[in-house]
This record gives sequence, structure tokens and C-alpha cells, in this order.
Amino acid sequence: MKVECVYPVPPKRRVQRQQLICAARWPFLAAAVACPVVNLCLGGSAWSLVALWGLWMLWGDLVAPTMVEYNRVSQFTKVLAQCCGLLLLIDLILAPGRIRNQLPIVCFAGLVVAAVLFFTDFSRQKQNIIPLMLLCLVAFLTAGVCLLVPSVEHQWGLIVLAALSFGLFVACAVCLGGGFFRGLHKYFHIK
Amino acid sequence: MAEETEKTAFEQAEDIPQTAETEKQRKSEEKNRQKAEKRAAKAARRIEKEQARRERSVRKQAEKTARTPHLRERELFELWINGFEKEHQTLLREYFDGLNAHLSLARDEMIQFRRDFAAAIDLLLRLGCPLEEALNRLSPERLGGFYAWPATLWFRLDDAAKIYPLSMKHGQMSVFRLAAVMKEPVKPELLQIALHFTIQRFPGFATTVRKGFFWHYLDQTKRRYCIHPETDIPVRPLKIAASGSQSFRVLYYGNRISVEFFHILTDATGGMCFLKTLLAEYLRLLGISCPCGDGILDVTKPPLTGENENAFPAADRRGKGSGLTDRASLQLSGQLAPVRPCRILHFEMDAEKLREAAKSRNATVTAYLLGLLFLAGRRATEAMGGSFNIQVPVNMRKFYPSPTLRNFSMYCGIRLNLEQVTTLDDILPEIQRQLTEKASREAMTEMIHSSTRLVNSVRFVPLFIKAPIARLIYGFLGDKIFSNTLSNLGVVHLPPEMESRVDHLEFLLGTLVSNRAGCALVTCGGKAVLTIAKQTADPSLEEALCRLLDEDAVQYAVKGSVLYEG
Repeated sequence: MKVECVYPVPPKRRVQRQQLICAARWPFLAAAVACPVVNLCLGGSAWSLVALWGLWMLWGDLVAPTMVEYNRVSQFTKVLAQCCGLLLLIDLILAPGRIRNQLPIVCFAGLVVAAVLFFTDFSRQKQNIIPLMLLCLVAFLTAGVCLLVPSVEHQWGLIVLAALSFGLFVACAVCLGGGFFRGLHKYFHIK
Repeated sequence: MAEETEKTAFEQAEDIPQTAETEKQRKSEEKNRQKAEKRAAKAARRIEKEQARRERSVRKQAEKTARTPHLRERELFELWINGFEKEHQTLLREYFDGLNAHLSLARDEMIQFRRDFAAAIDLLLRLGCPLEEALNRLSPERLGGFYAWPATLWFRLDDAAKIYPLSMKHGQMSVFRLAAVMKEPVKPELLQIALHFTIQRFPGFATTVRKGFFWHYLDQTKRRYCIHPETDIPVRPLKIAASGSQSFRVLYYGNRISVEFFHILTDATGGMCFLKTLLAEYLRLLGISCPCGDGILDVTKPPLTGENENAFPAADRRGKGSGLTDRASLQLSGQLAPVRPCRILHFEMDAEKLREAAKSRNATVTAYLLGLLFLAGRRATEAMGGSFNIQVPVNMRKFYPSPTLRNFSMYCGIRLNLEQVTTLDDILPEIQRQLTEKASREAMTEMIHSSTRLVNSVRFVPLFIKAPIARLIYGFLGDKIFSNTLSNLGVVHLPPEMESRVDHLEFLLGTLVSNRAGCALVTCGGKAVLTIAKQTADPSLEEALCRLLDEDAVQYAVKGSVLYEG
């Protein structure tokens, strides 16, 4: 069969993402299985949960990142939320009571960076405002709830976090203007 | 002699004051000269300083211009305009002022836009078109308000499109290509402008895929949608992750204009409408006017509401609802290639001869080609049992007329057991029967019903739960229930003005999961082109197909790509 070539010869291909995923899949799976097994065998605190969370973060953020909305604001917001989750997990499992006081500081710093990333490229990033606003809302509500719990120490951190997240939320809403409700509508549409 | 000496002495005596005066004068002159020299030197130094200052200023300006492309661009633009005659300069300035009024984009994009139009003007002038005519063809009025208005529209995904973003993986995305092979080499400058004019008529395509809490959606994106030279593998996945990224691409190579769509935007019918409208605009810029209608949209008119609607809910909701799942089918024996598709093959056939060959066996062209694919598949596998199942997409617009440009097609599977696949005459009646039955309005309505039910049942499940589950299910099932696909787009009618410039059309299906081949047919201008996107280097399928076509005396020419290797 004689084939007349009517397509260009493609350039030499670099290592593709899917090849990296294929190569990393089995070590990750092995680690994900081994950690709980070793943890169960050795007993003690459930450190494997922290390891699994870390593996999940590495996989989702570095090896196989999302194929939709991989932009600086959405990605940073996601990583920030995951980091807070990881810190909380470490606090609950490995170092009770030692890390929770640092959480508002991490969250505060993260929100400041997210705001810088957002407002320095506003025209392009305004499409990605909803994840940032949701993070602000979650941070504000969490800080508010924690403030109501009398046993929580270092209340100044929570107050600052609540103020920042509320301020950022309002700033985002003002920037969106009339598009705020439209943004919510499209984000939460169900049909 | 003494007298002479005396006189000389006298004269000398008299000369003393005269010499002093001369000396004084000389000194004065010397002083003046020195002063003048000093003044000249001072002036020279001043000039030198001035020159150095000017040079520094020019250098600084040049550095500043180099740092800021828009300044350099303005300078280049001025240079370009100044190259024209005085009266043309005025025309051009007015034209670009008008263009600027139609654009409200980022500065870089505005620059690109202006460059695009300047390049198109240059090309039209080189082609011998008078400036007034060139500016008329490139009239910015055809951009409408699309690029000037803020992006406010968004579109829900139609029922068929909802699965595509959920099931895609890195390196695997449902992309298809529609291409027109012109009789003359493509002029990229005009194709770019044609895209600028066309895209604003298709607001559903000028979008970016976004994540919602429950479903993905399409968010309108106002940007410069650009064409690219074709350099890579066809139907490779699109990069849709970045802010404002587009879900389709327009490519050119030699005589071919190709548009590749992520299936989330549209199906082949909607895609063909886009391609035809793009071609009509491209030809109009070349001075060939094509009438609108029959799938060519008028880009000066606003989009109709129905063009972007989800047409699935308009279909009847009756029947038990079935057809989404089936048992696994045989796959061809070749090993899956690391690069997919690993080869593209176009079988160019005379449409009339193909129709006659099908008619001689009392079959439709689709049934006839399905028969050939079953037989070719039989020769391309060493399995001893099981069944082949070929997926046939069905355009729902023929049952439920709709102007929608979104997805509005379902599919059916034509299944034959391995032992049934013997000769063409034996299998054609069964294929024809299954086609009539499974691609009927009732069967398709049932399928729509079940897919709508499925969509409704999970609509309150958040996307972060739905997505991994869908990916897991799709990973297990994938396209294993089918052995191959045959999508017949049918006969595409082009207006005579366009048909005389288009050699043929091509339709190419994108990446599959486990199927070794995906076939698509489109007929236009008396040429039927069957395209096979191969996922395996094994040539058994196409060799068997060639033998079968030879046996039936259907003449063909095979064109395609080299074997892509990783």
C-alpha cells in the first residue's frame, strides 16, 4: 500500500506528562498501600494518614495536575487549602496542640499571596475569582467559629485572619460588581 | 653707500614706534584669535555635549522602546503607514482608528490585532487589490461589538458534553478534526482575519472550559483567537487549563485548512457549520463571495438563541431508557502505540463509484463501509471468538430538527459475532437490519432518555466527587464495548463558488482509549474521503481494507501521515 504523505513530520517529542504519570503511578500506589500497612503493623499514632494526604497533594499538584483551571490563583488557593488541611492533620495526629496556633499565620500569609497574585493580573485572573472568594469565606467562617470556642488560644491571630479574609472577600465582590451574582450562579449551576 | 646706510638708519629709527604699534596690533590680533579659538572650542564642546546628550536620549529612547513593545510597534506602524502615498495614509489612519474602536482587549492583543490587519492589507495589495477595496473587504464593522464588549455570557454543557471533561486524562481528550483541502495554498494572513470575523458569530466557541461546584461550564472569553501552522500530530489534546485558553484550534498546512474541536463545544455537524462559515469568510477576503445558508452563517448577523441551546431536553422522554452500556468487544490485535494517533490514512474515493458499489449490494454507503470494516477487522485480529461492535454516531437533528451548534448526536453499536463475519454479501443484510433498528428514532430517544436520567441523577453530587468516580468508571469501561468507530458525516453541500475552490473535505476522529482505529467519512464535491486514525502501527486493517476495495473495483488513493513514533 503506497501512502502519499500530506502531513508535516512532527518535531521530536519531549517527555510527555502522561509518560511521567505512567512512571510515577506505581511508586505512588505502592507507597499509598505500604504506609497504612506499616502503620498498622507498627502501631502507634496514625501517621500514615499524614503520609497519604501528602502523597495525594504531591500527585494532584505536581505529577497529574488538573486539566481544567490550572491557573495561578485557582492552583494557589487549592494548595493553600490542602496545606491547611495537612497542618491540621499533623496537629491532630502527630503533635497535638502545637501547630493549630500557626494555622492562622499560614492562612493569613497564603491569603496575602493569593491576593497579590490576583490583583497583579486582574484583567486575566478575574475569571478565577470564585475559588479565591470561597477560600476567603471558609477562612472567615472558620476563624469566626474558632473565636467562639473559649479554649482556643492566640485569638489575635484569628481576629487578624477574620479581618483579612472579610476584607479580601469584600474587595473581590466590589471588583466583580454586577458580575458577583452571575459568577455565583454559574459556579453553582446544577443543570 | 654711507647715505644709503644713514637713510636706512633713519628709517630704522622711524620704524621703532611703527614696529611697536604693529606688535601691539599683532598682539591684539593674537588675543582676538585666541579668544575666537576659545569661543570656537567652547562652541565645539557645547555642540559635542549637545550631540552626546542627544545620542544618550536616542539610546535611552531606543532602550525604552525595546523594553516596551507597544512603542516599538507604534514606530513600526508609523513607518509602515509612511510608506504609503499621502491620501492612502489618511485612509489607513481612519481605517485603523475604526479598528481600534471595535477592540477593547489587552494591549498586547490590540497590537497583534493591528499587526494581523496590516499583514492582510499588505497581502491584498501584493495580490493586486486596490487599497480601498482591501479596506472594504477587511472592514472592522464585521467584528461587530464582540471584541469591545465585556465577556458576560456563559453556557451550560449539553447532556452529551458533560462526560468529556470528566473522562479526559493527560494525553487523552475527545478531539475531532474537520479539514478543507483547497485547490490553492492557504494564505495565513487572510485566514487569521477570517477567524477574527467568524468567531464572533459563534459565541459558544469563544469560550474557556471552567469548573463549577456541580458541573463544568463554558465561560465566554474575549481574546484574539489565533491560527497556527500545522507542525505536530493531528488531533492531539488541546491545552485548556490556562485562563482564557481556547477549546478549538485552527491550523493550516499547504492547501489544507483544519479546525480541531474539543468535543465539549460541538459535534461534527456544528463543527462543519463553523468550518464552512470560516471558509466563506476566507474566500470573501480573497474576493470570492459565497452566499449564506446551507450551513454557512452570516457573520454580520447576531447569533440565534437556538444555536447555543442544549437540544437534548427537547427530545421525547419515553421508553425504558437503555443503550448506554454493553458487553466488551473484540479489539484488533495490534499493540497500542505510545503516540496516538500513530498514523492518519485518508482513502480518497469517487463518491459515485462508492455509492454504486453499495447499491449493487442493496446497502447504504454506511452499511457497505461497515461491512468492509467488519471484514477488514476480522483479518486484523487473531481472536477465535467474541464479537465485533462498531460504534456509529447518529445525528439527532434528523429526528428533532434543531438549529443548535452544540452536541446533538447519540450513537449505536452494530454488533456481529466473529463467526458471522464471513463475506460481504452475508453480513450486509444483518448490518442493514441492525442499522435500521438501532439508529431509529425510538432507539435514539430511549438512549437520550437514559442519558438525561443519568445526568439528572448525579446533578447534586459535587464535581470533586463526580470527577474521580467518572474517571474510574471510564478507565474500566472506556471504549472497550466497541471495536472501532465509523462516523459518516454524509454529503456536505457547498455553494458552487466555494466548491470550485475546495478540492475535498476531511473528517478525522481523535484519540480513543483501547480501540486500534477510528474511522470517519465525509463526502463533498464527488469525493468521498474515509479517514482512519490509527492507534497501532500494525497495518493489517488498512491492508485488508485495500484488498476488499480492490475486490469490489472501487478505486481509491491513499494519502496520510508518516508513522508517528515516540
